[in-house]
Amino acid sequence: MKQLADEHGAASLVVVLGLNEPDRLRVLATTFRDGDPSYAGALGGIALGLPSYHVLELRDEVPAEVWSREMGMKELEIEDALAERIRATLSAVRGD
Amino acid sequence: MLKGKKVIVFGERDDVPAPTIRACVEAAGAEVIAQATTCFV
Repeated sequence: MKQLADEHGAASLVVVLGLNEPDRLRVLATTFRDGDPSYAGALGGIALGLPSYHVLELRDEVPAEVWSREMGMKELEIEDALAERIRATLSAVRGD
Repeated sequence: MLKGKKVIVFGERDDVPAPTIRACVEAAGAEVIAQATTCFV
């Protein structure tokens, strides 16, 4: 991750996640933005400043036919309450 | 937001895998520079 950020520039990078577990998403997104909070991994103390999004948050940017084909069934598997928790979790980590 | 951006994709095998995310973000105008599908069990 650090190598990619150094190579491409953190300002132009975005992380998109597909995990449907808000607690684990929070840890991942915090790590990519602020560094590993446990200091146990390679990004311990290294803040890359990368914003993380769940693919569900990007629905409006994806052409409808592509979304329907790729995410149609996946979206049905996620309960509305869980989808909202996922959005809220990542929005909170991003600070927006 | 995605148009012109470079994206790192982390999919999850039992939720939304990386190839699915890749197809979506590329259709939205982003460039995927790395992807991985993990399995959180």
